[in-house]
Amino acid sequence: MLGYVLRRFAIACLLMLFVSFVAYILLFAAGDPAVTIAGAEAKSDDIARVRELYGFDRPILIQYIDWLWGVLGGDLGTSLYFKRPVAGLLLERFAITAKLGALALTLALLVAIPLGVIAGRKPNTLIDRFALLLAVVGQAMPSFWFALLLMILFSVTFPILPASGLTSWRSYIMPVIVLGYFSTPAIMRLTRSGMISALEADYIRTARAMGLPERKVLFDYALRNAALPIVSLASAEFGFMLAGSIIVENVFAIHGAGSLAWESIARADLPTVQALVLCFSLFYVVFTMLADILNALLDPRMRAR
Amino acid sequence: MTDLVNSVNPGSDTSPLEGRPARWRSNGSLLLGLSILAIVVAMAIFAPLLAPYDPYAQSLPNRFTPPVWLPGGGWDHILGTDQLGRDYLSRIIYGSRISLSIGIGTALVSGLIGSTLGICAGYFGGRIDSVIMFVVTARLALPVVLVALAIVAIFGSSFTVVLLTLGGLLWERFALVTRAATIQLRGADFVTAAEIQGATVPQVMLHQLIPNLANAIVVVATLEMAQAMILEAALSFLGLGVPAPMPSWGLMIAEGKAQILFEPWLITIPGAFLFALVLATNLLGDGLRDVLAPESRN
Amino acid sequence: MLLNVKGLSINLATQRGTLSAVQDVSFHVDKGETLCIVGESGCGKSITALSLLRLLPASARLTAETISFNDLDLLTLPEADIRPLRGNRLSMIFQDPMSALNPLHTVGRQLTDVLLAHQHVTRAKAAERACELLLKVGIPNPEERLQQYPHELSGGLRQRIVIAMALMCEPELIIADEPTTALDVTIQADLLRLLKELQQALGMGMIFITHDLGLVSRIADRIVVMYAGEVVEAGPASAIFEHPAHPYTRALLGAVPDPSHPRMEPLESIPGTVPSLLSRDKTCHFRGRCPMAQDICNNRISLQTVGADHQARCIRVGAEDSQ
Repeated sequence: MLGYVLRRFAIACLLMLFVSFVAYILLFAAGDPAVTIAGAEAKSDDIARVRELYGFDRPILIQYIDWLWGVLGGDLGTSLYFKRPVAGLLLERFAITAKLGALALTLALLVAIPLGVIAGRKPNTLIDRFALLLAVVGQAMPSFWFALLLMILFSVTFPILPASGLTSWRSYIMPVIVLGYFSTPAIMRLTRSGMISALEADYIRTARAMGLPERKVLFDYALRNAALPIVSLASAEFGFMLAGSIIVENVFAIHGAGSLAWESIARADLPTVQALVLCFSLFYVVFTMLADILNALLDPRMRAR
Repeated sequence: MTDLVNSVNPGSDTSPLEGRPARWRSNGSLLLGLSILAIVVAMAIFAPLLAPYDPYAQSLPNRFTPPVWLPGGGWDHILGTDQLGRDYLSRIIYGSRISLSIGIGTALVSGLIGSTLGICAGYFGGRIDSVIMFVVTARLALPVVLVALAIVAIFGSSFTVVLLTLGGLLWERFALVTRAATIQLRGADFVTAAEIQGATVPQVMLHQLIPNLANAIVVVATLEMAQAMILEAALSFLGLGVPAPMPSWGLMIAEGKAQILFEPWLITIPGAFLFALVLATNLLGDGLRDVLAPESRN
Repeated sequence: MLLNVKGLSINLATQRGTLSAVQDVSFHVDKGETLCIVGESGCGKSITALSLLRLLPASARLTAETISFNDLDLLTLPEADIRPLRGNRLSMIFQDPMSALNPLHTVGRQLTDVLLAHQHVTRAKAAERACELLLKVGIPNPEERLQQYPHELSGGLRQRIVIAMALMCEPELIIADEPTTALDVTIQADLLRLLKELQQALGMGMIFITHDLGLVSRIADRIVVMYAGEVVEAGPASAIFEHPAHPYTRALLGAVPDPSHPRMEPLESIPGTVPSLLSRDKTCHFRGRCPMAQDICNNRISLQTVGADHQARCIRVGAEDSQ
């Protein structure tokens, strides 16, 4: 078990290293960073001075290692726009986005899992068709349009919810719904197919033949077995959801990490963009790692390894 | 005896319009998806014939004309006009070209990249497989929208840039599916036979593997096409996709956003078309999967 | 009679139409008696057994004249009343021990769950009983075993645990569907002996389903031979082994290698294959493979009396044949 955890952790570190390299290369793909910082109209002397100041005249690899070193120490650079350390900025913004994400994931799980269990228990019935329809619609619905539709409905036609900002608990409702709907289809489908497979398993037949009550068979036996892949998917979906917050925060004018991402790209605030790519990826890598470890803990067959 | 009993039971994941694995004609989602898609494709191809106006022609005195079913609307602008007086119906019709071409183009590019990676990973196994899977996981970790926005911001907002960016980012499902299928086929007799006969690796891949993978690839292609269409719309919505004044449906929604209070149709109409197209493509993909490759269901 | 089944038929509704899996099957089991249902794969023996516990898939339609268990009518009893019987008064064990147990729960948990489903005892008491049973099925160190997971145990051990599970509530009837087929021959003998001992100790009726006539000869009191969804011969074990009446039974017996009588001729096998579910019509299903088939075999044959309590579905019963 410990071996597995260590290995998983090592893979996570390697992944972050790889992603961080990709994020860093972005800086150079944008063209000469010195020019970006100094401004398009700067004189060549100024540009040279900027280059020296920021150390852009050193080999790329050295710059990367330097930057990485800083990142590991908590220094994510300084925002070109806000003129303050990126780390602090990110902490503030991610607090908001993570909160939204957590609420959205909870909503998604609360809707998707029961629906998936019921649909899996009784495939091809009306409720199953309904659940699948919900999933198909959810997967086809562009989140920004869904957000705007909700806004038209609940802020314009029936003005009961605020359209922007995070002023009261009411302002959380629409963004959480939109963000949650993002992940509901996939989780529902996986729960459903997991339940169907689990219920076809021999040990379920044994449990039923032994006269165990159906509720016990469904939850303690079938769902418990189907849950393992659901945990993995939910963690990946959380990562995707956070990344998808760019759109939702834009529409609802919420000042989280997602809107910061878009603004920073528009403002060519490269250090912030780099740090954001890094952080979003970090969430995904960490959460999927935790999910894998949780699975290993829950599955006695894995613990032996 | 269990086999008998199991062969008669319904399978795993299916689409809502489908009860059991069925043939072409009775597969509801396949037919529905195909018909809607066919209509949109026809709309795109015959755009110059169907559109009543030039989608770029502005007419400021006519701005914000409502669609025909609202008060103030008329039959000369069935879907109304936008903030620059451009006929919405014409823009919608031409917009279908953008969505479809991005969708198909992205599916082709990402399909090429992803399938190549997946087949190599599945065929060679070992180190190569580990490396490719590592790259796939890294790709999954990256926030796609953010990276796509950054790339478009860097290289400029244009149709080609969007296409290549999305194509270069949306290949992971191709890789995973082709890898899994290749691993299964790897041990098949006909592959071994070809190898024994001295076929080179590319030959084996081309003549033995790919024809058998084609079904799975087609299914993934439709689903990725739908994904690409949504993403292009999202990028254009955020202002870093296809550039104005091109009638991308996502861009139209963005432009309409400011008028949400009084002219909500500017938002609902392009979104409805996008939703219908993506839904149709997804239904087609699900239907194709039921018919062509039922074993690749979850 | 402990269990009395008359006229049991099972039809399966599929895309390709309604298939007849089992037709007009009748048998009975008494207290303390072992009934063996014999037949090759696909003859319907397993689905018949499942139907007794009403564990058929949704697409199956069960009809029968009677299915009575003591004085309970299993055919019409609502689901809520059948469940308390399963694993309690009527138990079943299945073929594949490797997949019969839930991989995520300990053995102890699965054993106690069965007892707790039917009796109001504490989990501690249930665990005690589980230990008792593990000892009875020949597993030493039961307290340790309770904490183990199925994947940590061998196939033979797992099957013993499955047997223990089935016996937790001391059922009156146990149905064993090929419990030893997936196991080593050496373990088979052990398990067979165990089942027989337990049956005698608990006074249970047992229905033992198998395709292996060698096993049948060792444990059967009565035998029912099934072919293509029908009973083709039924009677006391001694009668069937000494005077097999149906050509299929005879062929089966002839096909069993007998180490005590080395033969010079090639091993006999029955030519042809079982008719598929789709092509079962109103004739003798065996006629395509029968050495004695005649024109009259193109009709539905009913069970003919061969001797006391011995019947066979063949109109040539008693006729001399080339064997």
